[in-house]
Amino acid sequence: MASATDTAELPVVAAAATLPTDDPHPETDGHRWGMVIDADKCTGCQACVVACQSENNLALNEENRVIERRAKTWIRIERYWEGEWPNAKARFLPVLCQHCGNAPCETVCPVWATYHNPDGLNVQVYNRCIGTRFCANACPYSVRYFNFWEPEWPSPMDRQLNPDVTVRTKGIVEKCTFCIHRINRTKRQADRDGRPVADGEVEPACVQACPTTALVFGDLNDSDSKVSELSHSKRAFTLLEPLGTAPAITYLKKVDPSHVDEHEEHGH
Amino acid sequence: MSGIARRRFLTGAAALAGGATVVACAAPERESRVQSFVHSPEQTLPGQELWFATACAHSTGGNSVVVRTVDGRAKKVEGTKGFPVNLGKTNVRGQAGVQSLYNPDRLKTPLRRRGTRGEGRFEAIGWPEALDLLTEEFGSAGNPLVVTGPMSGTRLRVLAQFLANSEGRHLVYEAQDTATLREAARLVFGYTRLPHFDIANAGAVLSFGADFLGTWLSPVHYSTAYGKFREEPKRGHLIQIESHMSLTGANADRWVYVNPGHEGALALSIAQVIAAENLTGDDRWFDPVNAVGGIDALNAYSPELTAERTGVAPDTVREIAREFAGHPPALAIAGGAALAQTNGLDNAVAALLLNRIVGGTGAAGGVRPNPAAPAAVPATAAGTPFGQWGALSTGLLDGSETVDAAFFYDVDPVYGLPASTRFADALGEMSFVVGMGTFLNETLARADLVLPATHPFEEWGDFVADPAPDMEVVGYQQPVVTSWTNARSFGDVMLALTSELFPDAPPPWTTMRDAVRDGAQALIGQDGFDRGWIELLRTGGRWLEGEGREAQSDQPDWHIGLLAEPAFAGDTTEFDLHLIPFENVAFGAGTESANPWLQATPDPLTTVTWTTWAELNPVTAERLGVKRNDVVHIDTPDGTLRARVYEAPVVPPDVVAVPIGQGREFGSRWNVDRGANVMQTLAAQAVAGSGALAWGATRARVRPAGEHDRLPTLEVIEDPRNDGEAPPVRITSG
Ligand code: SF4
Ligand code: SF4
Repeated sequence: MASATDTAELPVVAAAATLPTDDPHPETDGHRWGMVIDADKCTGCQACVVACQSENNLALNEENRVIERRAKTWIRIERYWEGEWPNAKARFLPVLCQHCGNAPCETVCPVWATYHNPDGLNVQVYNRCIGTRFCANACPYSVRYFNFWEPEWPSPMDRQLNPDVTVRTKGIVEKCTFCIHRINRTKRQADRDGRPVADGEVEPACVQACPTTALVFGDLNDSDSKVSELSHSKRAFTLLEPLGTAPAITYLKKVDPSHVDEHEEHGH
Repeated sequence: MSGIARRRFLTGAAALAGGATVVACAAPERESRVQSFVHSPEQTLPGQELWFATACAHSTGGNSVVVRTVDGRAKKVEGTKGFPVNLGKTNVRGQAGVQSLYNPDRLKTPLRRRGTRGEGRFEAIGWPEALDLLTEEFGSAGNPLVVTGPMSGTRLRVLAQFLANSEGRHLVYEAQDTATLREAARLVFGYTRLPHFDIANAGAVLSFGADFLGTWLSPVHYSTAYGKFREEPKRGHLIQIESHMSLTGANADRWVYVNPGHEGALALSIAQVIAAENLTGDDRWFDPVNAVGGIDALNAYSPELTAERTGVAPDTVREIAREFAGHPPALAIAGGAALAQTNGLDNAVAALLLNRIVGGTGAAGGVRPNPAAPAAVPATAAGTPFGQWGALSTGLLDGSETVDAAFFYDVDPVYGLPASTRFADALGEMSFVVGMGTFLNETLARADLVLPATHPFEEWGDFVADPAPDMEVVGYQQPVVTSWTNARSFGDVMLALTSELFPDAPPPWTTMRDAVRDGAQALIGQDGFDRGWIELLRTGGRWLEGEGREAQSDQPDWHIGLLAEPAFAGDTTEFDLHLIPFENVAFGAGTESANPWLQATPDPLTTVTWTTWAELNPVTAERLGVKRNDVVHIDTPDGTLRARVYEAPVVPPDVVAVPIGQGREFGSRWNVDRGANVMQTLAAQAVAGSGALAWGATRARVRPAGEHDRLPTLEVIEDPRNDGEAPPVRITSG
């Protein structure tokens, strides 16, 4: 480690405009989009899953795709069994790209097809992707999907395709975008109106559909936003926290009245 | 491009685009069509989105959705904000409305039968020919029969015109039979309409088998209510009692297994604890208990005396009673397999009675009477209970009943009724059968004439929410795109048929749109109607406090002594397991299974997609010598079906649970020849007192078929036997 006295021997950059930082959430003037998922409200109903398929032109998950484990679901509901009969329980957890502040998928891409945008989103540039799948290997949440086949929608099913979202071709990786096209549209509209984007104005398709409002989306840079407020809940946690990925998604624990610790934590 | 062709192209382009800019550069290699804005459909600008509020294509309770359209194509469904049933939200089925709209296997043109009935061979004909045939057959029919699904609003008024003139009959086939719940609400509260179950404001919800988050009555409405129910800091407490864990059960704070058919006994046991421990803190339980037989009668259901029957330990019953009464306002509801027993009506009554015992009726968080539907837009017609379908079938088969002409619209009783009802054979006895729908199904395949129906996003209509969400709600339906098929709406066909057959008493409207507008005029008045009409279409409908809420009866019309023991088809030695069929969260009782998004939607608990599975407890599976992915035969006294085993720790050891919805011969490429239809294997037993199908009252045995076939699940569980068996993966297309 260099000491203060030998800095002269190090290549010192004078007066850099922006200094490199290891802060996963560097201060920016813009937005930092994030989500809160309340496991106590998520019923596992799958409405968000189909809403995402519809909005984002996901290829049909035919039976063989599921068997081969190559079905694409940008958001999926993981189900966990707890205990044995007669005290067994089922638990649900929606899992999607966590839009990590320290995203392991970004550093491994040889062609910068995936990067962090100024709004805090982990972005996939489809026409840059060469399909190494390094990112899918590196992602600890298994939320990146490779296109092994050309997608097909028997006519006239293709009429449903959303013109705002690129259809992905064979050979590239895709994943949740936080519905970036909806974010951009709302930002443009707010710009045109000469006003800031209001809290709750941007709703990704999953958030829009969720009937129990288990999903909340917003700007984490806005301390008054609902998502900021909820992310400070006593029930808050992030997925695989020890990995240090700094996700933009905060989960709220399920409340289990039969569980004493959580009971206390919940404040009852 | 040849010179002449090029010249033509230039002329055409100039004429359409009105200028030379289009042709300023070199002529393109391929000729392209240039379409002028002047030819665009009304309101359409290329690339600009338009949202239309309309009826949800696949909801059961009456949801309103907005459909995003771009360039005349439907792109996305979202809930209509502010519409009080679904409050801007949807479920999986609602989202899939755009996919069923563009399903390539929809019925596209009228078809006339070529082969024998049920063979499914047809020839395409035009509408004029189809309407001639329809008029001819129904003109000579003495007693026409019209069978539809649950229907409300203007469609009913249009149908009434035909029925009044032709002296025909209307039967309502419900894939999810509500007769038992309706009758229970009448007996307990004196309500003739389904009441509002105020889950959002309840402190505790005690549900006997009602999967209100997945499939029961109006799941989107109840899911929005559940979101509020779970809101901190109040956070409501949910107890679910059932014989197979539903989606709602999986979300409960306390889930309790009850022996099938003994839900009523358990409800009375809970009531006994409430009374004995005076858990309401006052004597409000006294009058209702007195009205149904008094405390002595109730004491016969103390937790100790019912434990053996219900399978629920006395201490657990006491805890349930304390949790229920200890979180006011407390709400008890009942549905699912609890009601689909031979004594299902008693189970429902005993469960709903708990609301009167804790005083949770009429107030927020309890059971509230719903207002009447407005006269101009009639409420949902009552369903025809299973008993009547059985009687119709028997009558047709023994010749005591005849049907000259029958019209089946958007229903599939051949699929949904147990095979032992022999409804498919009975259909063969009807002289002329017309089937109308968006897809071919088991009933339509047996018709002489098949008519393609418009998708809900292509037609006019209106509907009354049932159950109403504590207010009077009329929803409006408008076409959001023009149909890509040669389909017509049921209303328009009925109007055409009625005017053709009865020229002396023609209906007052020529199209469904006229009829719907006419109803709207009666609803909102003539003054400023044009504005009001636009507003109805823009907001999705009209809702207001409503009038004519029914008064609760003085006392329940039931007696504890009436609670019957359940009866099951199949004796316990030969058929050692209870067969519990359950509705699929994605496609219900099979009505939406033609849709690949819904087929691929994982069952929330098992994560199985695309097929039929048999849920077994691991202990049961071991006893039977089967494991996950093994194929088994499930035998009942009335049939047999094949399914693959899914072991789950939440499945009761003496139960085999099978999802409803697969096993079709007719439909789309995505649902034909896939899995098995469990409804066909059920015994034809009715619920005493309501006549509904007792679909939870059949016993079964499970036999290994000696085959092994990997289940398409989202979850990954490595099975060592799969080593070397994994299917080869084709990684290139074309
Ligand atoms: S969740 Fe996976 S794909 Fe998303 S940013 Fe993190 S590492 Fe990348
Ligand atoms: S829509 Fe909401 S409640 Fe349903 S699975 Fe998704 S997050 Fe959970």
